Amino acid sequence: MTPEQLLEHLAKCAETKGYYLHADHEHCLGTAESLLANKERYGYMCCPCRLACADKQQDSDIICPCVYRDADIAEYGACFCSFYVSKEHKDDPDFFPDVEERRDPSRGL
Amino acid sequence: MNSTVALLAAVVVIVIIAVLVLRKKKSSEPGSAKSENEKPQGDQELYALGMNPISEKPIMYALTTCQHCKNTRKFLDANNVDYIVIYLDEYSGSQRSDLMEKVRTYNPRGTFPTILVPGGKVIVGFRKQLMQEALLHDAGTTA
Repeated sequence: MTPEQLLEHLAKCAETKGYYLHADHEHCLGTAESLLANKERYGYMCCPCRLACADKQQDSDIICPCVYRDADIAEYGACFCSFYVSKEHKDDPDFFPDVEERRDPSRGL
Repeated sequence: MNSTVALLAAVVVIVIIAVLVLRKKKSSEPGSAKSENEKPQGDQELYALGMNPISEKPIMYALTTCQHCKNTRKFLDANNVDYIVIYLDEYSGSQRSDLMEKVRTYNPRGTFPTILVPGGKVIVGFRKQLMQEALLHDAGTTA
């Protein structure tokens, strides 16, 4: 699967939830490449903005889309990686909010 | 008799090929049970620096896959800031967890990038304004 194909697939999945991929295509393409790199590295598409521990069970909350996405988009308008955004920000290529990490630091490494 | 021997030989060859193919496949699977020593480790000098981060240059703890880290690097490069980057995802096992523990001593949430600025400031995330204030007027800049 190419990064472009992955983006197309994820965009469709996101829209069913009312979310969109970030308007900065280069940013999204880089994120898709990283997701594929993590798939190759760990066997699953772990969040590229977080350090995986390489144990699928322990990393299950940060497999993209992570379990924190809904809450992050509701509060900030974007997920932790600014990969998924709300409808309100779907056309803004400069929208990169500082999203606070919700993940419990005791989880993972 | 000859046909029986030929059949047995063919079976043996097929079994050997199957075993070799299966072993190769298993060793190439992500997350296959490699010992810690077999897993690739990042640069050991950078690991040592990451564990004891004393430098005249800013030290950035980052991930190779993180877009915020890439954007931060682009910004620093564009502003001719001389810095050191340590990619935690290039390490595995105890070295990875040791480095993560170190990052948390400066940034309890353990997020990336985490930048240690000479003088003691810590910048978390892709923060242009904070970087401008801390790095473009302090030590570590060649601009």
